[in-house]
Amino acid sequence: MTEEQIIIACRRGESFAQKMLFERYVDRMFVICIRYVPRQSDAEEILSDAFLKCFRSLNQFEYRGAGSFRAWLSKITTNECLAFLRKKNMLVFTTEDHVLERRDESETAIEKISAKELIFCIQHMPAGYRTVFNLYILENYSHKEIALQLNISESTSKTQLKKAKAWLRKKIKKDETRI
Amino acid sequence: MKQEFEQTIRDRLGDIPASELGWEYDKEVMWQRINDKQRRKLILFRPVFTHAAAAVAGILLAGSIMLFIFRKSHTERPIPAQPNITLKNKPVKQYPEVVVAKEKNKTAPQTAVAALDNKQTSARGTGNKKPLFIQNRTASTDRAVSTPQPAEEIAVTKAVPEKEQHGVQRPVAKKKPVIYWVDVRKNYEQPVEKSGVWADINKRLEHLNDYPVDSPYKEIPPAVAFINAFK
Repeated sequence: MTEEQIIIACRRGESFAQKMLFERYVDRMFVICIRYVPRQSDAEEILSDAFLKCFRSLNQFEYRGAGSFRAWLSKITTNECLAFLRKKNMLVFTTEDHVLERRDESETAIEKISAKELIFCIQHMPAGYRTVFNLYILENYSHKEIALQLNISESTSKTQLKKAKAWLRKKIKKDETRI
Repeated sequence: MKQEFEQTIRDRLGDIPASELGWEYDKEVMWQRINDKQRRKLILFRPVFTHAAAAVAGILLAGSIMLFIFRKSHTERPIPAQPNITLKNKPVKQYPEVVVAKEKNKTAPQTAVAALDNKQTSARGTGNKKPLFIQNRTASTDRAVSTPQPAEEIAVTKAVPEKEQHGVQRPVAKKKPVIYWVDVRKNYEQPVEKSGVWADINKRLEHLNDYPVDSPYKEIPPAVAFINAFK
C-alpha cells in the first residue's frame, strides 16, 4: 500500500490506515518532540496530540509526491511542540554570555560524538536557545519566520542562535575532555 | 566553517529515527492513547453542540416573547365608548328582494312538494295557480309522490320585509321597565303624592308607629324598599 493510498484510507476514517501511518512516522516525529521537550512523557503527550491533529485535518492536506506528507506532519509536530512550550511558559530567552570556543576545535569534536549524545546536548540547552536552534538548523526556518512564530524580534532570534551554537560547542568540548 | 557546523548537525539529526537513538517507548500504548483521545474528543463535542442549540433556542424564545410584549403594548388603543343606541340610530335591516325564479323541468323534491301543494289548493276549491311558496318540508316527511310534475313557474319569496308587505312603519319598541332602588329613610322628604306607590309608602311611614305591634305594616323593610315603578 502506497503512502497516498494510506492517506486516502485515513481520510475515510479507516483505523487500520491511521495505524499504518502512525507506525510509519512515529519514530521520526518522536525525535522532533524530544529535541524540543526534554521530558519523555511530555514528548509522548505532544506526539499523540500531533497525530490526532493530523488525522483530523487530513482533508486539508494535498499530496504532492513523496516527502510531502512527512514535511506536513513534521510541521504539525513542531507547532504542537511550540504550543506546548508556550502553554507551560517554558520559552524563556536567556542572555547569558558564553565564552566562544575556537571553531576548529569544536568542529572536530562534533564529528566524534554520536547522534544520541548530540541529542542529549541539545536537550540540556536553555529552552530559548534550544527552540531557536532547532527551528533554524533542523527545521530550516528563517530568522523572520522564527521571530513570527515565537513573537520575538529577528535580532533576538539571531542572538539566541549564536549563543546556542556557542553553548553547544562548549558543551561538546566539555564532554570530550571528560571522556 | 560556520555552514559546516550546521550541516554536520543536520546530517546527524536530520532523518534519524528514535529507535537508532536508543529511545524506548511503547508504540501500542501511544496508539491506544491517540484512539482514546479521538473518541473522547467526539464525545466532548456533543455537549458543546447541545449547549449551543439550547442557547440559540433560548435566545429565539426570549426574542419572540419580547417582540410579543412590545407589539402588545404598542397596539393597545383605548376602547371607544359605546354609542347610545337609540331607536333612531338603530340600523335598518336590509331585507332581501323578492326573487322570482323561472325553472323548467325541475325534478327535485322541492318541486314535487310544490306540485302537491298546488294540487291540494285546487282540491279545496280555489283553483287558481298562484305563485307557490316553498315550505320548509322535505320529500321524506311528506306523502310519497309517484311522479314529480314539473312546475311551470315558481315564485320564491325570501323573508319579505314587513314594511313592504303591509306598508306600515315598524312598531315602536316597548319602553323597558325602569327599576328604582330607593332608600326609604333618605327619601322620606319626597313630595307627598296623593296616589300611587310613593303615596302608599309615605302613608305607611307616617303611621308606622300608629299601627299595633303585631300589624303586618310594621314589617316594612326598615332601610331599603324595592319598588318596581314602571307600573
